[in-house]
Amino acid sequence: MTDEAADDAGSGADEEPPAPAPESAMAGRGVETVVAPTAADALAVCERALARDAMLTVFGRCSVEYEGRASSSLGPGDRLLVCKPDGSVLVHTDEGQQPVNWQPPGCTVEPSLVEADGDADDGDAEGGDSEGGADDVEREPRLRVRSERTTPAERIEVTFDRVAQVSAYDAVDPEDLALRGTEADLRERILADPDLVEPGFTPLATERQTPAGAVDVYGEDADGRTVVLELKRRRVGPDAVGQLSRYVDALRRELHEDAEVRGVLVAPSVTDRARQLLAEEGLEFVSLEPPDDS
Amino acid sequence: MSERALVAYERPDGRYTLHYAHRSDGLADCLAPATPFGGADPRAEWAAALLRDLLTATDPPESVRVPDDAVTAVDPRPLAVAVPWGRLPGHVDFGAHEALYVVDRAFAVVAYLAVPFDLAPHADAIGRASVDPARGGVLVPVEGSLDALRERAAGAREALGAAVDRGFAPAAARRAVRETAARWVGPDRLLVAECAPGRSDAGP
Repeated sequence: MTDEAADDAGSGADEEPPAPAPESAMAGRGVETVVAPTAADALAVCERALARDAMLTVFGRCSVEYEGRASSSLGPGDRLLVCKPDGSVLVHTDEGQQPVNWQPPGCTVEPSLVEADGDADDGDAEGGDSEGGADDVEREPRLRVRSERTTPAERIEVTFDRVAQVSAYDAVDPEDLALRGTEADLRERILADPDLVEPGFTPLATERQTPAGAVDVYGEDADGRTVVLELKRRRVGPDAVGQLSRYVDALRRELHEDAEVRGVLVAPSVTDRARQLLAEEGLEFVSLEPPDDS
Repeated sequence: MSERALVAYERPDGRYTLHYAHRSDGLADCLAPATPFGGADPRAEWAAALLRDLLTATDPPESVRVPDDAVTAVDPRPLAVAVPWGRLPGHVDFGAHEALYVVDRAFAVVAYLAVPFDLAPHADAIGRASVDPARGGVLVPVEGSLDALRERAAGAREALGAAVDRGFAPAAARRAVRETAARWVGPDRLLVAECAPGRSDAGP
């Protein structure tokens, strides 16, 4: 994609006049990218990307201001800004694996145009000589991407003197692609081969009702203890553990007092926090993926 | 977050008939006038006829006749009939239901992600493992990908849970969940289930 875009941007130089701005843009197959956009064009790509929860990258000469638990300032330099659909923001240089600044998931990202002196610009920049000298470049509006969160109050502002390339991707993580099977597929896989959960597991019912809702698979282990399976087709966090805990508690109340009920979360993987919560609650985890739908 | 869902079918009187779906995978794509509960044999007319009856019912039927071999994505037996729009959030079990799907008269489907206010699974300081559904929650309309919004909500809840463990008041964190969701789509587009009557919004 990028190669094609670069070709588009440069190929006209030999035989034709330089390509106008739209020629440096390409879109399709979930990717929109513009090489050397004006600030206004870059802003439009950013706004479209954020509106559709796409992955946004902006590469160019920029400065970075951070205010929050501390404050920091990075002067002009060539950097890569990455805005992820979950609200994470990363600023990378050409060195190291760690970003030079970042914001965690859940932040609000807002792009805008600002005048060279840094004030927000509600309209286009003043006109002038389109050939543009250095002074004119300085006066052109600039792209600013602001990321903010309230708890704790933190803010990053990345202001681009110029943008070399802006791209938006409708990204799908390869892990998600590998897990395209549904929970129904996962359930069928377990019903067909219960030993995938553990040797001796016997499913007795699916979608069995409890006072807290219906459990995915209800069964017994090799020792006759009640086992509740909660199935997830993707990597899961603590909310899924809380849900399983509710089902197990409800079943313990429903069954006789000394009934032993085991709760097992079946998913491809769990977060660290979920794993900790499972241990605290005496619940278990089995790593299992839905079958490929190929 | 679980994958359970509620499905609300709009009635001619503007109210809704509410049903349960055990899995929300692909739900929006499989609901159609001929197969209103999804997954039924398109030639079987029982499903469309049943929904037609339910959409004008004033009380939940005592029994619903469903063929023994019927396999549907949405349970044809209604949870409630004639539910006003404003009362839909009150039927959501936050912590168990992941989404509410609203089906209008033309069978256009709008999904709402259910985001609980309670942050118990994300904060040791709260001292519980599971979400208290009585704390309420917010239903956020899905404009792009449900997966992306789910991740975004999980990230926000994770951050607020960590804040609670660092001393942020749980009640303030619950309000922050609502305010965060409001920033995503605008406060007017949220459907909110307030904390249950008789429950204090203070405390963990």
